[in-house]
Amino acid sequence: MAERCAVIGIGQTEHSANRDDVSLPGLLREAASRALDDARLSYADVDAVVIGKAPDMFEGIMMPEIFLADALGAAGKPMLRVHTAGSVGGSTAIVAASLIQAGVHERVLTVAFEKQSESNAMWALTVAVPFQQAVVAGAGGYFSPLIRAYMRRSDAPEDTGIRVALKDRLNALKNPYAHLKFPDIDFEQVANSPMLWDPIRYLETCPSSDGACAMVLAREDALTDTEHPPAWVRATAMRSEPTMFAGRDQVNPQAGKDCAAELYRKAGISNPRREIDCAEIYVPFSWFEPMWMENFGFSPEGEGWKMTYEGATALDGDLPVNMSGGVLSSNPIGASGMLRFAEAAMQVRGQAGEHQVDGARLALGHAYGGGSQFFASWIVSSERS
Amino acid sequence: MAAGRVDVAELHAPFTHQELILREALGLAADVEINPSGGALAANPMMAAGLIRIGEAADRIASGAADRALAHATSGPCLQQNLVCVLEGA
Repeated sequence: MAERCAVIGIGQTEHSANRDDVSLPGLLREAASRALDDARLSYADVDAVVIGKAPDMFEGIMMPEIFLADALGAAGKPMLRVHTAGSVGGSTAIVAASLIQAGVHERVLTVAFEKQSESNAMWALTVAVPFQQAVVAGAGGYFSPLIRAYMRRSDAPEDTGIRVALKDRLNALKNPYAHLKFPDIDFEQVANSPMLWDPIRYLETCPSSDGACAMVLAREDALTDTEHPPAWVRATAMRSEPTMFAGRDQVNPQAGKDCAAELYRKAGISNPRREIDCAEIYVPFSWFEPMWMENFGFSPEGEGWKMTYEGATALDGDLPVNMSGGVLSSNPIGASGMLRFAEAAMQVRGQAGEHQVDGARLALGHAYGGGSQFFASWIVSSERS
Repeated sequence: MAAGRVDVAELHAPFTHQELILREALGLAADVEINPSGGALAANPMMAAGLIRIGEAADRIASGAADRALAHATSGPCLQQNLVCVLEGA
């Protein structure tokens, strides 16, 4: 039988457009040291380190895991680097959890990061790779037609995306680590912001951030006396599919539906909308909230926008989504998935501060990457089960 | 290695001096056959070169040429990351 795995330490950096006050190793160490402090452990107490980041071109540093080993206390220990595009922060956490669940290690430090100020992610995504569809003009250029397709299919009101952005930006005001904070944000400001990739407006878009996130995962018999109780990893699931194939539904990808189905089956969840207390999902452009609500089975197909419209996904709704302010408020790409997973764990540990959902005991963390083709997700619980 | 000798070792050494360092670090006896495949000096598809070492070691066991084989993979010009596995026949 698999070992139980718990999150016993969580740390993140202050995220901003340019963390030029720290080096890349310094940025990771800020998050890792905070996670270890939260777990009341030191680097020496960790058996292995699992790190993740998006493509190396995003900083222009090839195989950064080699020179980061020392800063993360990994010298003389197993160190593993994971790479699944934008979902990598989630899949990195899942690889780390699997090392605990498989009985290989007792305590694993997992860290994900991006220091976008070192390079230019939009340029890095626009490089023409032979025999592959060019992304062209970055992620927004790739995803905006999918949003148009969703609007046409679902007949969603045009201002759904504005409402998502406003909600996430208000949540970010409660998160001390968030990159973007607009204290007087309102509907009009989002609606009147420049159109970047129709229908995506400037304030409906994620920023380019420098930042890192870290977690300490432990086997049941290696817990520590922490201030906050552990978050138990109830289930994990990952799915992938190619970027392009005939008949592919990119708006509601099969890989995401399959990932959700496996996750809920493993966690013993039959009605996610009712049973899950809150969800932190990967929404880099506002409209992906309703799209992923449908893809992950929180609403019937074509009706995800109603959850936003009715306030169900607000911090005081029946399924709060992106309590932290989400990817729209902080986007250190490689870390963005792990921040979602970490926020879910923070919620069930009761350490989310002003953006805490009262009584949260079951939370979902979600990440996606590539051309909506890599999915990673986990469900964490305050109860050991 | 304390548990017994190996017949064959496939070492991921893209540069010759690395093979000497690895032989010593792994405590390989003088009669251990090193890189019968030709190693990374003969074919080096970069990220696959380590996995090929494991495949070559397994192939020696499958063919009956060795009972016990060691495979090694590395990353970095200074052998910063190292993976070692020992494979045995049934």
